[in-house]
Amino acid sequence: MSNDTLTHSLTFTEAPAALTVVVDPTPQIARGSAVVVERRRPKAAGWSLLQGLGVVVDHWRKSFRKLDDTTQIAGTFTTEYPEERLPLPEAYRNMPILLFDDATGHELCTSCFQCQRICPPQVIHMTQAKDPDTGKPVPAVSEFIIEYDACMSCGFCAEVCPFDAIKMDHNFELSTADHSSLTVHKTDLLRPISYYQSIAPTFWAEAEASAYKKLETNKKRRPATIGIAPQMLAQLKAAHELRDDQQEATMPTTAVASAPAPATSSAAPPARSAALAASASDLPTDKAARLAAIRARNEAKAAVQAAPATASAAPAASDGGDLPTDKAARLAAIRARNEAKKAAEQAAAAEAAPTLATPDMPPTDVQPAASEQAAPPAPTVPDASLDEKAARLAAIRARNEAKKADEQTAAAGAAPTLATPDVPPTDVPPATSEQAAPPAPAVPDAPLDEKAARLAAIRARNAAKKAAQAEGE
Amino acid sequence: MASTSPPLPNARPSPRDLLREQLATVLPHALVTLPDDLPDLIRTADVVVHADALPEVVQFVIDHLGYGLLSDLAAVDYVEHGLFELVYRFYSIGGGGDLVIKVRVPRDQPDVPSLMAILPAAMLHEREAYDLFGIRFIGHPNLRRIYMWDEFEGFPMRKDFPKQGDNYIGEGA
Repeated sequence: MSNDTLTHSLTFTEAPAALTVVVDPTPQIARGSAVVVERRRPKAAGWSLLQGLGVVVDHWRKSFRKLDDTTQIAGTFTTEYPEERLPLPEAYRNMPILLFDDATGHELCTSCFQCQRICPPQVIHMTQAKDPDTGKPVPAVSEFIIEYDACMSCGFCAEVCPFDAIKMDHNFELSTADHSSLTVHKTDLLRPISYYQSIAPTFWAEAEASAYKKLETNKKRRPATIGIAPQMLAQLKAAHELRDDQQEATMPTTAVASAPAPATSSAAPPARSAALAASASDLPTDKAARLAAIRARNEAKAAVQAAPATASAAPAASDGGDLPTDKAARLAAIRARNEAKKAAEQAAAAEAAPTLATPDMPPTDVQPAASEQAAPPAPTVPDASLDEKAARLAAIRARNEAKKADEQTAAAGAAPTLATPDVPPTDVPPATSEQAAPPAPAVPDAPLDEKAARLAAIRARNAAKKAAQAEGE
Repeated sequence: MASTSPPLPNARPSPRDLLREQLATVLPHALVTLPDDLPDLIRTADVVVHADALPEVVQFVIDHLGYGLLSDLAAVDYVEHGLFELVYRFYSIGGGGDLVIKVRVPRDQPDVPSLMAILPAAMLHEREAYDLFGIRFIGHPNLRRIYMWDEFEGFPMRKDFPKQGDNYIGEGA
């Protein structure tokens, strides 16, 4: 025992044989009871060093002992935590997460509000998604917030969820200096089903069948991209592009916008992206792409009406119908370009020449009625008239403008084919080709493409108007 | 595998056995002897003590066994057997594994003496057990709800807590 009076006054020397601790109803924390630890005084200089060496020698000596099994090992065992981790039991629960389907990206949550109701500390908040067209609620959630800082980890939300959409995560490393980051929004709550399967395989095996069944029904009631995990949209888009690239590689002559069904793609993509691409074929982005194509066609139609002189030429275009329309259109476009080059070289005044051009002018080798002057003979279209030439010029201009628009949006490989005169001009063939093209998934970024296509169509129409005015003069 | 060689000289008895052995001599009245015919669910190999004797036992564990760190206080609701179980988990600064002391109280009268006088670390643990299970810690200076708001009625982690949602918001469970 220390002789120091200061510490002596603060210590209690020996614990009584039978401790009697009285619990005071108005408790006071018993401070001042300290245990004095006797430390060995160093016996001589360098004693501690020898002591330390003794430990090393002791362990070295023990290391030669052969053990029969692990029960003979004694001591304190540690797990080097951040690198090594003890396995957590499946039922371990920390904070709730939301699940989405790996393949389609669809969230399992339908915003039924069960978890929001049951949550004892009331930290779950959600907003139901609405169809932007009809304004009616959709079985999907547009925003989902959980306040992790007040969550008590009771797991009731996961228990009551009829769709197995909300589950308890195993991640316990949530400490942060940023308090506001503990209010977690939907994007950060979402995890793929495969993740939950990895942390709780037997639990998911029980829930799997009914969860997928319910998801299938709900998917049918979700328009456009509603209910798809935001982080999966980018991946699905990438899958689209990958598939498009493959199709272009296998079928270089086919226009991208009306590329046939993915079944024709012969290249074998990686399994995961193949699954993504396959599931993407029923995605509503196709719908958007088709919508863009239809709109572009309508714009083109309007352009035809604006310049009625072309109307007479339009029906004649069906002559080109013996070729696959896309191919014919492309071929015609190439021819037109070549001719326009020649024409530009020979006649600088060709721009001002009277023209009937609209973007819908048939680029096929049809002979228009009003051929006035002998045009410099094009190699493939010997009878091409001046008017036709002018029309082709306008087509090229429209194409260039579309290209410019393209450079800005960077995504739209399909825009020129949608907006320029390469689209077959008659009403019937494009309509059938558009509708026949089974879910045309080709446009990777529908909104951008749609915009570019519309822009190109408008520009083409303006060019046609100008040309018509020039003709009037 | 047959263990032919004797255990190493520094192999120690488990802290649980040590505690049971020492309690039997020092505080024999604190130990609970569980009947042999208990259902499997509530059978336990850990040391179970009487609620009234808990502070004495904890004081003994701190002073004589060196387990001065209250790591964890868990409550378990054995609703079918009509009892709450409190699991106090201690660690020693000297190292080694944990030491568990259990207390069982009847479900209809869940009164346990507070450890606040001995271990201030019990403060938040006891408030949590009160908040979620409704266990009353006699002598706790500030036994208020910690997760739930003060007006909340009922104890949500009890097994018989209603799971119909709206029922308990506002107008009583």
